[in-house]
Amino acid sequence: MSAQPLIVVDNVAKEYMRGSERIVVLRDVNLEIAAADFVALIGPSGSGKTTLLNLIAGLDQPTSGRIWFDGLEISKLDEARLARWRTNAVGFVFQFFHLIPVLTAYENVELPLLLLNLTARRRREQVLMALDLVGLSHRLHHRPGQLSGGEQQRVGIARALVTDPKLIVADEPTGDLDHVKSGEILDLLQSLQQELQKTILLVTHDPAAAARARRVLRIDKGTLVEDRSMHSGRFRLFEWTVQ
Amino acid sequence: MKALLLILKNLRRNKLRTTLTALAVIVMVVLCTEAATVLFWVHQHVHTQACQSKLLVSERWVAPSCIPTRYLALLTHQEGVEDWTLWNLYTGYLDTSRQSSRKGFGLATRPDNLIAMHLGLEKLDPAAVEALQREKTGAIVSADLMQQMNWKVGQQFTVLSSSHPHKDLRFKIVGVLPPGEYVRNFFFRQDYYEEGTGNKETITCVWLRLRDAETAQRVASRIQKQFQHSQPELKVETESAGVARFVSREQALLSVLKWVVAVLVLDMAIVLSNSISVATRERRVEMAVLKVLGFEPVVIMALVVGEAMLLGAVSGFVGAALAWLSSTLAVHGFLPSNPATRIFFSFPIQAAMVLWGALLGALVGFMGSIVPAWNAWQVKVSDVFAKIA
Amino acid sequence: MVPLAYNYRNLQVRWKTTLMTAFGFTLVVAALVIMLAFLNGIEAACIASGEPENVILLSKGNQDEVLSQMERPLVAQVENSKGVAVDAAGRPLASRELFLAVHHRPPEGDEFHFLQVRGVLPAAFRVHSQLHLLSGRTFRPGQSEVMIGKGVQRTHHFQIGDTLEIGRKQWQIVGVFESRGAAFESELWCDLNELASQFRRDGLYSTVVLRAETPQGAEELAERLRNSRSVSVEALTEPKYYQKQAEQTRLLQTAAWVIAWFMGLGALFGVMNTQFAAIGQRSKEIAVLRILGFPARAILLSFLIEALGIAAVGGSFGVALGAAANGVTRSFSLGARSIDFAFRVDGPIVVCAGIFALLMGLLGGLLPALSAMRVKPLEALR
Ligand SMILES: Nc1ncnc2c1ncn2[C@@H]1O[C@H](COP(=O)(O)OP(=O)(O)OP(=O)(O)O)[C@@H](O)[C@H]1O
Ligand SMILES: [Mg+2]
Repeated sequence: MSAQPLIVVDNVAKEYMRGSERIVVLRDVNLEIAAADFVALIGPSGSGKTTLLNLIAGLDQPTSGRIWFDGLEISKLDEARLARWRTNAVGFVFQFFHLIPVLTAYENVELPLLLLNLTARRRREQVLMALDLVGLSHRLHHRPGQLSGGEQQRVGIARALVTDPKLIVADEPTGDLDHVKSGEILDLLQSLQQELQKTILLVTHDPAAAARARRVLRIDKGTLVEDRSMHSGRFRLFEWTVQ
Repeated sequence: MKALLLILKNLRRNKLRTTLTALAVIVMVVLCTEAATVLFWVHQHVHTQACQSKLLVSERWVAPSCIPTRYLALLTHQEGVEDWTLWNLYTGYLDTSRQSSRKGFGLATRPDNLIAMHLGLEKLDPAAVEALQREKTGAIVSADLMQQMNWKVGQQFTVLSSSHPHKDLRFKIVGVLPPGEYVRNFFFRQDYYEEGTGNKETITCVWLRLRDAETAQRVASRIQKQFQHSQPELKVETESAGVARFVSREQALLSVLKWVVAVLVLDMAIVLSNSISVATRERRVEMAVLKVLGFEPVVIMALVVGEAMLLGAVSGFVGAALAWLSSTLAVHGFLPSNPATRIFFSFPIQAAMVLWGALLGALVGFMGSIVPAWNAWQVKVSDVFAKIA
Repeated sequence: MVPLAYNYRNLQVRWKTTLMTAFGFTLVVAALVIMLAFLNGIEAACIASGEPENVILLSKGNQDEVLSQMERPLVAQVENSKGVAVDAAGRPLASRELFLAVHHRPPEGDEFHFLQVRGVLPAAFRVHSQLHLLSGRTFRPGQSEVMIGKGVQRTHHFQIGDTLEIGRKQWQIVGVFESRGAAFESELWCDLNELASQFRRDGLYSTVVLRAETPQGAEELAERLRNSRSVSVEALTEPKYYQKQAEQTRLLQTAAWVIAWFMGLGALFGVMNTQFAAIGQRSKEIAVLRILGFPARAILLSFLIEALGIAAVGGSFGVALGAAANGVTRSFSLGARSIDFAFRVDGPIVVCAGIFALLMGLLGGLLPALSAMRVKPLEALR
């Protein structure tokens, strides 16, 4: 593990107001995530996994506490600057893919690049590369509606990595897929971490998915209750399937 | 009753959409109401019985017409004439600015049967006529002139005559004409005209009232024959024929107006149809469920049509009511006088138009809902649920 | 910026709604174009009627030829005013004219209508220099002959050689003339003296038109006559006179715009409806775009463009539809006279209608676009 962690979460709490009632969703979260790590975040439903993920990915602001990303304190940024930072630094993979239905696979992947100052040619290269990485070079001009669930999620992953972000967050990316397709997606994420040195933050309910991670964080009722480093993901998976 | 409640509930679901649709219809109905009032006026004047049994006698060949006074007795003693009156046109500026926007058109006439002989004066206060009979210089002035010149009853005004040079006359306002038929006009006494202008020899035109349309036709041709060889010759036409001639001069304008009404109606139907389409598309699943529960497709269709018609009718009602309200307010001087509000003086909107607006809205709602209703009818339970799964 | 393909394809996907909304615009814009072309045509006819060298005189207090009456001594006096041009023979270029609206009853059918007859002397053809014959010849004085304007021929379907009953006489049509679309084209021209005696107007004139050497001279002549103590007349250069006539359409102009705005408001609510529905359906997409880093104003712009697209498509069809009215001829009454005119769609009208459509699209799209901008990504995806 490198000396300088990529992400530092310092004493973060998150509260929501529901009417006059205050709901504490996260409290006293302290956490460091190293660059190029594969971290799984697990816990019961409603425990605050998505909330923590959103905070780390710069989609939301903590009620108190601070978050650093690569030395930058993102919990201090305003909304517009956060948005700009997100495009470069974080890629998102969603449970329901959330591709734009009227755009083709190619155009969906190209979307975040439009926010950067790139030449058309450079964009094209990057999009083709990303789609190639996820194995969809032959589906460039299909619309999401013409792709299977697994393929759609791969387009989603290509879109997440096309800007070459350091961090890829995935909130239950396999929740809507069957067993085989899930495995493929997880393989893909794992290879991104291993071959491209991406940091992966994966929220999941699926033990098989969590087993791929090098580190598993368990959260319950808004606090981190467990932090385990794992052996090689493949081994664990093997073990799990043998069981 | 249950169905109505269901429709109301559906309308309340997306308040924003309902409001926007209603607003669109309201705005267009306001316009439609006024345009329809104009077209209705034309229709009424060309086709009503009263206009067909009244004859307008004027000089045969040339406008403006000039009839010798000696003809009067010959005309009014025709057999079948029940009542008669005459007009002498007296035009001039109402103030020293001498702008054409400050022109008034006086009509010298008999005061005693003023109401009976003139269309659209049924609502004139008889007290005004009595006052005119008492006051020789009296004038009953149109509502729009009163408002434009900021005059009050009892006040005096001078007309700088353009039709009778150097014969400026001073009048005292004794009453106000109801808005509608007469715009920029004022009625005053024939004897004052003769005295003031010194013209006792000629009359602009004569009005004769006959028992019925048939008599009118007979008398008209008799007069025409009788004066065939006199100089000047006379022209006789029914009031409705006169209006028709006037209207044919404005044909271009009227046809533009008709197009406008057509466009408005079509536009309303489109807006309504669009909105109802979106609503039914959103409710495909519900409709499928209703079908599963055993509702007949007709009922589901009726709900869609009913929703459009109710929305249309209510908006039409409100739109027409707004139009009527602004017309009434304008006519009574509560709205600033400008070119847009002045139209109400010529064509005031009747209260009955409000119902007409509701009817139009319902009709447009019906038109607009045909396609969406058809789509609702076509909803296939299997399709809908297949998509959900 | 969100790619335009996104808007384009979305419009395409819900094409029925898009077309319906756009069609609403088409109708409104077409109506606007037609109304403006109508007024433009009238104005063009009026403007074409005036020659800047000419000064038109009417009796005091009158703005319309129909009611104007001038007597011979007055006319003789003004003809010799300083500034009136003279012809080769040294006679002043002045045209005495008698304008009458005459009732006419066509042989078949028994409805009256007006014919506008102008009695003129030979000098008229030198004063009204734009007038020229299309076919036939000019009338001979005292022979009960008339020549008719192009517009009269069109509306009444008269032919050369036809006879007309005007007053008690039969008049023969001997020629057709045009005058660059001017009001004269709606008139019949005949011998002044013959017309006057026919209608007991001997020694009376409606108007006298004086010709000056230059437009500048005409202005000065009119000014002098207006302020003169010795003669009492209304004097206006022809362009000013016809411009005043055209002012009677001001009210219609207002009415046209009031109608257009009301209609436009209806179309505007239509777009709003469509766009709000679209945004409701696409809130998740908006959320994703925001998460990917698109700023709020990019979303605003994107949805505005979509509304503008609808307006632009509908508007252009509307302009095309309205332009179909271009050149259609009708007659229209101005004061006591009527003129023939052609609907005229020109550049400014097209631009005006285009801007109107876009403005309506913009106003109708703004509110929905603002609401799209305010979509909270996290809440929309929950
Ligand atoms: N915007 C919000 N307003 C109010 N409460 C919220 C909001 N967002 C999240 N919560 C609450 O915070 C708690 C944690 O939510 P979160 O989505 O982080 O759970 P989670 O662990 O991701 O659950 P799941 O596994 O079901 O996705 C829940 O009780 C939820 O109701
Ligand atoms: Mg969650």
